[in-house]
Amino acid sequence: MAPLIQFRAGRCFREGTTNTVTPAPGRGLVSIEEEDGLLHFKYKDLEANAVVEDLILFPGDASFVKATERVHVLKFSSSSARSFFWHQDVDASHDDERARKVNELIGGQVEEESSSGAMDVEASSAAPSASTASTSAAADAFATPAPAPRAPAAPSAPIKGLGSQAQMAQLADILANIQGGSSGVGSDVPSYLLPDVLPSSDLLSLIASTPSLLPTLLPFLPSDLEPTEESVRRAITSPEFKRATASLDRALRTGALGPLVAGLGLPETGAHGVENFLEAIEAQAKEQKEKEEAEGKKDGSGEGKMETD
Amino acid sequence: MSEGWSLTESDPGVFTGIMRELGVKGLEVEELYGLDPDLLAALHPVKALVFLFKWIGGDLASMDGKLVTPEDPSFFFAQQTITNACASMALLNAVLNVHDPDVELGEELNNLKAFSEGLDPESKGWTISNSEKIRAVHNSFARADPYHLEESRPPTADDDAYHFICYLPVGGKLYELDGLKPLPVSHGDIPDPENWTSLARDVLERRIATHPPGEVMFNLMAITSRSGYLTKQVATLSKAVEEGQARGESDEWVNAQLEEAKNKLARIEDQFKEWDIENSLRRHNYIGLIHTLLLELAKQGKLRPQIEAAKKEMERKVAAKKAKGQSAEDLMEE
Repeated sequence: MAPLIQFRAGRCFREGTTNTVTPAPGRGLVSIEEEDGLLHFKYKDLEANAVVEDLILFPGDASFVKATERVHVLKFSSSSARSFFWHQDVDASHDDERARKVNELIGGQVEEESSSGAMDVEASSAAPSASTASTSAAADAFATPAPAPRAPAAPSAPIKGLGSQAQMAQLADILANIQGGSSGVGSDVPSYLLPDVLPSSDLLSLIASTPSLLPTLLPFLPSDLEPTEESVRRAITSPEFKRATASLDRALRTGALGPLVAGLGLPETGAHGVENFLEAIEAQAKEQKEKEEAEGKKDGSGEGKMETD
Repeated sequence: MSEGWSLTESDPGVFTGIMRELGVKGLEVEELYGLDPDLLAALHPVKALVFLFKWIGGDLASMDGKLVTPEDPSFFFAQQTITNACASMALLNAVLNVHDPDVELGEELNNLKAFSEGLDPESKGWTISNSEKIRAVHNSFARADPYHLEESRPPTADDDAYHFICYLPVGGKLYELDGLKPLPVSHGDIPDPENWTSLARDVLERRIATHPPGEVMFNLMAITSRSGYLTKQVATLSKAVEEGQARGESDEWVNAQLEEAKNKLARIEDQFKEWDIENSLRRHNYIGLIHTLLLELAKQGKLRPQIEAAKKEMERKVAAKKAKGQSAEDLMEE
C-alpha cells in the first residue's frame, strides 16, 4: 500500500543525561503506512537505504507534537520514551501541517503548542536547515549545545560553504559522544560486546539455579516449539541467539532502537548504546524486585520464598 | 548488488523449506557427505546435484564440457542476477528442469516457467529476481533481525563467497547449470540412463581435482524425491503383505523390506520436524528472551560481574588480534 504520508526528516538524540536534544546528520524519511489493517510509523535511513524504525501504533499509543521550530517529537502514552525528528524539507512551511496529519493518523492527543519552558526537553541551537547536502544541513545545526533554553533562529536560506573537513570532524566527534558507546571518544572498538555478557554456559547455569526463571522464559519461545526447558536450552544455545545479541549490540550503538526499547518498558536513554541499555535494565530490575518483595510481604506468607537468597 | 534479498544459510533444511513454501511437492534437499555410490544410492531417486563452492583463493576456470543452447524450449536456465539470491536461483535452475509425474512445481513456479519461456538466460534471471513471491519466500528463511539493519550490516569475509552449480540429467544428457556462465554446459550423453549420477560423479571429481587441497571448500546436496518414493514403497509393500496374509502366507523378505522402508521414512519425517524447529529458531525474535535473561541477571546482582567478564574477554580478543597483526575492528563484525 502507498504510504499515507511521507516526509523527509532526520532524528535527534538526547545528550547523555541532559535535557538537550541535538539533531543527527543523515537524511531520512518518516513514513506512515497501513499494512494488514495496522498502522506503521516507519523511519527510513536514506543513506543506509534501510528502515531502521518500524513501530505499530494503535490509536492513543502515541502522539506527534511540536517540540520547537522544525522539530517534532513522537511521545508515547505508556512510557516516557520520546523520539525526536527534525524536518528536512527545504521549505519549512509545511512542517506543522504534516505533523498535524501524522498526529491525526496515529490518533494522538492534540496538544497546545507549548513554549520551550514547558517541554521537558529543549532542542539545542538553531533549527537545522535542510539544504541539498546533508552535511551542510547538519553542520549548521551543530553549534555547541547550550543548557539554557534558546529561541530558535531558523535560517531562511541554505548556508553555503559548510561541510568542510573541520566541521565534519567536529560532527563526528560530537556524534561519537552522543551515541554513548561504552568506549571513550576516538576509540573504535567498544570495551565489551553484548554477546560476551550473555555466554550460553552462564545462561544455562542461571536457569538451572533459578527455578522461578524458566516459566518466565517460556512465553518468549517460538510458538511451535514445545514449552520445555529443552526448548529454552536449544533457543539459547542456537547460533541465531548469538547473532541476535550481536545484532542488538550493533543496533544499540546506532541509537536507532527508540521504539524497541520503549516496548520493553525502558526509558528512552536505554536506546543510546549498550552501557545505557544495561543501566536501564538494572533500574528496571531494581523496580521489579522491589515490587515483588512488597507484594510478597503484603500477601503475608506469600507464595514460596519471601526473600531471595 | 543485493537489492532487498537477504543472505540465507546454505543448508538443506533452508532449501527444502524454500521449495515447500514456493509450492513444490515431492522434492526435498538432503546433504551428501561424499560422492560414493553408496551415499548416492541411499538418496535414490536423485533428481539433481547441487554443488556449493566456497572460494578461499583464486578464480575458478574449469571448462570441462561445452556451452550449449538446448533445443528443448522448456529447458530452463537462468543467469544469476543478484548475488544474495544465488542459492534460490540455483535451486530453481534445478527444480524447473525436473520432469516427473510425482513432482508438482506448484502454481508460482509453473507460472514462472510459462512466463519466461523463450527469454534468454539473463532475462530469465531477472524474472526470478523480480518475483516478489520468490524474494519474500527466500527472505523468510534469512536470519531475523527485528529492526531491518541487515542491509547495513558490514560485509564479512563469508559473504558472497558461495557459488552454486547444479548438475542434472535432461533428455539423456548431463547438464551443468552455472548461473555465472552465459549458457548451460553439456557433459554429453549419459551412458547408463538409470544411473546418471555415476557420470556426474566423474565430472565432479575431475573438477575438485583441479584445485589444490584446502583452496576450495565445497558442500554437496542432492535434490531428491526420496520421501515420495519411500511412501509409495511402503504402500506397495504393505499391500503385498496384506495380500500375502489373506492367502495365509508370510514372506520374511517382504516384511523386512517393508520395515526398512518404514524406518527410512520415519527418519526422513524426523529430519523434516527437526528442520521445522531450526526454521522457527532462525526466524525467531530473541529480544524477549534476551531482555528477560538480562533482567534476571540484574536482579541477582550478576549483571555487573558479567559485564566485567565481557570486558576481560574483549581485552583477550583484542590482544589476540594484535598478536596476529590484525585489526581489532574486525571483532565488530564477528
